[in-house]
Amino acid sequence: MLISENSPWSHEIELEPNIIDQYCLDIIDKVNSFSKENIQKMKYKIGEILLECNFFDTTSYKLFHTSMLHLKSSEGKVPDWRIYVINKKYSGPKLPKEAIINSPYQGIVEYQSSKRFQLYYIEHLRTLFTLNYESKIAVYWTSSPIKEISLDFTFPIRYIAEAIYRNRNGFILHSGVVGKNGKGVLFTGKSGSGKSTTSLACLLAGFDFICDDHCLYHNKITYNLTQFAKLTSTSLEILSQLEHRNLLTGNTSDNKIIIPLLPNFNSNIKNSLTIKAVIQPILTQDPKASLIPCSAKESLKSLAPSSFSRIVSAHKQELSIMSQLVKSVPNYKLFLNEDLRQAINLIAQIKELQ
Amino acid sequence: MSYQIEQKAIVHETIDEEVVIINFASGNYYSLTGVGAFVWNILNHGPSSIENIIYAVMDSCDIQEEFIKSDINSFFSELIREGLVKKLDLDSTSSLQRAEAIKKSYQTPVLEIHTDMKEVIVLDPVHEIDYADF
Repeated sequence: MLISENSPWSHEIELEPNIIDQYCLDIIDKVNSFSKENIQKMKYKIGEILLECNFFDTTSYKLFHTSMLHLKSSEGKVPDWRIYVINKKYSGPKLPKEAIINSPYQGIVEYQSSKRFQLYYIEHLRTLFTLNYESKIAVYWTSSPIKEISLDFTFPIRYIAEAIYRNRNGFILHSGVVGKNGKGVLFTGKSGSGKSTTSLACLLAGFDFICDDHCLYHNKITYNLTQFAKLTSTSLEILSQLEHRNLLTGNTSDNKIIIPLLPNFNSNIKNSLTIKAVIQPILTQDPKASLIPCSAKESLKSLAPSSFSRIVSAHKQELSIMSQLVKSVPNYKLFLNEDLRQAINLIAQIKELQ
Repeated sequence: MSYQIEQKAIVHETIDEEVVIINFASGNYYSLTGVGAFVWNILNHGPSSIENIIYAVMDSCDIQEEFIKSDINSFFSELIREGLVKKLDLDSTSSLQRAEAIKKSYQTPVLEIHTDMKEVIVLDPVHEIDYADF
């Protein structure tokens, strides 16, 4: 049932932020009351932030750790944030519908709170997550059964890391990123445009690799979030060399195949690269691939539409971040064909990577 | 009657003198250049009447009202139809909010509409949250 105009949610409600703040505290207290006997704990470095992730069930931990094991950290210092991941039926306090921030459209439900807390409900995942900026504790509570293949394993970290970085003017970009010598190029475009195929072809050719689909972006630096790539079966046929390496069976919910890149590409997968150029791959039938400079606004129109998060109140900031990115570096269109070697050669010769 | 950029579902950015607009309610994104971008930037400074905008365009492009009035009215109709601009019940003599008036030649304002990212951009409305499901 959709929200009707008569619903109390359709009107902006002035509510004391402290009410939601208290709910956030109550959720965290609830989590603290759970037995820690079988908790699995690990530290990961996401960007510049050290996260201690605590999982209350082994399945969640194993799936998540498989995705993020290359970001595991043995730093002895106190973590910047502690995250608690719970995968069971929600038993925390019921949240007041009146506190939902009004919007004519919604992605993730946002609750009105003070700046010390954030609280969201991801409807299609049946997941609630909250951040306490004073104690630097976050909770990711999902009642969706975690299935082995159908979920992106990095979900807890993606949402929480993005929320943390949003306060620092960063967020998650829908892009591929490869590079050389610590310098990266960022591939833009909607799904099916050739980002993943181009990114992974570059990896096979020996480029440094951050991602084929999503990365954390902050201050012109992109950060790795997962060791998995996702490709369609068609792309796998093109990248036949990749096909023979450790494929997981099954598809993701968007019908792509998950491909672990470790341990085979251990030396190529990097934690971060500084972006020096933005490239929009465009599939063509031309016999010769070409790389043509284009305007920043063309890059923005390619990058923006598929990069927005589902946090409505953040969209203006996200568009501004993307605009600043494309204005700060050279932009290109890469017209590529089935012979990816041509495209790879063109990318390798970009002066910004030298 | 004044008009204002719709705040809730719209984000926009001006880059290389082109305005890029994203409408999360419809899933469409748009481009405006030239006179269209000029009009949008006037609205970005605050509510304005069509009359004031026509005067601003006349001044900027050194052109008579009779040549542009129909274009500007049609343009506004399209902006409203696409959910990018809304009417406000304000005194139409409210002070003109002016964007930087750079002298330019007049071209009919055109709203470029892109619908190829609709499925990605548009966000589902929130359903009634039933905690029994959660």
